[in-house]
Amino acid sequence: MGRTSKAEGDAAFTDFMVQAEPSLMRTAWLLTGSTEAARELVQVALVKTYVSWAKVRPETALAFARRVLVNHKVDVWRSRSREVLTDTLDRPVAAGGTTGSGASDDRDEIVRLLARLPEQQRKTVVLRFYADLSERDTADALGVSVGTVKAATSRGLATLRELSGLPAPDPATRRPERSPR
Amino acid sequence: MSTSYEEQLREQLHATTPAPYAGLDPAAVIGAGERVVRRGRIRAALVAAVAVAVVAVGTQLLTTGRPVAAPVPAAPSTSSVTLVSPGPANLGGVDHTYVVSVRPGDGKDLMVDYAEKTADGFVSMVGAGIDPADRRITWAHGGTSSVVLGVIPSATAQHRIIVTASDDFGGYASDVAAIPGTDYSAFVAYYEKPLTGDNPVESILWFDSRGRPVDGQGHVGSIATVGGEQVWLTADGTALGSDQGSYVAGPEDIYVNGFTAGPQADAPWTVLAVIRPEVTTAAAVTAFLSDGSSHVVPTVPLGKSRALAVTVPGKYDSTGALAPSQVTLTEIRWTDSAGTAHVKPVLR
Repeated sequence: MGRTSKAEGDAAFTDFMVQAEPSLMRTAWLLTGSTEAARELVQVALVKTYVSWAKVRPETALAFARRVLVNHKVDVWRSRSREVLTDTLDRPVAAGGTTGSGASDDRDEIVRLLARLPEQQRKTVVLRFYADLSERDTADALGVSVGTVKAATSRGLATLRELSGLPAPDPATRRPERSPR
Repeated sequence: MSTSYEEQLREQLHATTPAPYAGLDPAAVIGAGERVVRRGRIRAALVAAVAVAVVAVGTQLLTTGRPVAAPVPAAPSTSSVTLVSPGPANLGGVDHTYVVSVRPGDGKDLMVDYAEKTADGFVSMVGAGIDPADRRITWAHGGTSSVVLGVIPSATAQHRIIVTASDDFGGYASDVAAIPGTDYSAFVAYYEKPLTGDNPVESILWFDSRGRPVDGQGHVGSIATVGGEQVWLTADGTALGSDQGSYVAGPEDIYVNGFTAGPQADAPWTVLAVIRPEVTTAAAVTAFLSDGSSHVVPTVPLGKSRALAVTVPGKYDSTGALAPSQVTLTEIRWTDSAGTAHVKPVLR
């Protein structure tokens, strides 16, 4: 555990984990739509953060864990077929898992809508509007360019508006489905 | 500038909460982390042991007079390796353990056997015959199970694979390990969801000892050190990546990505670009960045393409928070051997 003793490092990690878990859990839930999948994802992120704990500064620990969390899902999404990556498929609603409450309320509505977004758009929307990251920090977390974040955010917002039954956005703000050549 | 819909969305996202769940136990997370560290140490020790064994076998062959050029027998007898799928599946105390064995088959062929460790012992799974001369990857998945097991035709494959599935089967945890005494490695990829459909596994990339990506047909891709990072590109140019992540290349002439030099957000930021071969073969270009700066940088051969990198330092703003560098590649310019100047904007 680097310069500090293992006990001190473990204590610091425990403090961090207690503080970070709610935020990470909600981020993971918004990304996966499943409480159980989110819990496992947070576990993975925290375990990997612990493994690297000696190299992680306290002030950047949450960003580090969030980046691990998102990139774990990135591995998932990048393992899909290329057709999905073109963002042109009307994908079915992802299995969201049952919450056990039986309540299909507004709380879950946004999660169901998010599940219908292509992965890149879902990631950027969650990081930009839930985690409140800047475009640059979102790009850092996802390992993509700022331009990619901008495009994915724009398309994601447009899709969410459409799915919500809201009027189409101002045409001037719409982005093409594919980057111009 | 935020719109009313963006504000509404932000409020919705902050208001929503997951269903109640059992909180995570710090001791369990720390214990899992310690197991990961221990596995890494054990694996390093095993790699060293295998290397010693290979040297010993080679020495024995030479001293017994076998022609130097003769191939080393792939598997004179049954040889096995145990794989444990790491990641989410074992955090709850449920390890998924498999044994992959290679044994002599009919004629020159070898037989690969797979087995899964269950509470009742080991359960054999369907195996396959392989031709030692066939250097393609071999894998199997069991019906609607969540696991893909296979054999890589290399004893020195790196400890990572990239599996491309035909659909979203959730995340996958993987393990790769050499099969002692053979020139094969075994791998497992354990998905969160059962693999369904006729062909759920589209492709598998593995990495040779140099870090070059190798596709399922045995086509070896390329690597280059670009911007201090080892970057790889598949032989067909459709996928590239580094230790920072992997990417599917789009149709753009210049495919741009970026990475930091470390986990901290204030680490130097590197703009990485891969230029398709029909665009330029120039050994150096002038790279224009979105911050208004320009840099004359070399281009590094990466397969048939060329790659370049421009690194800018990380920095803090006046509040102490990490400031976004907002730097992207906007354009490259170069002059060809005939003296003609070229300008190529980056349109993404």
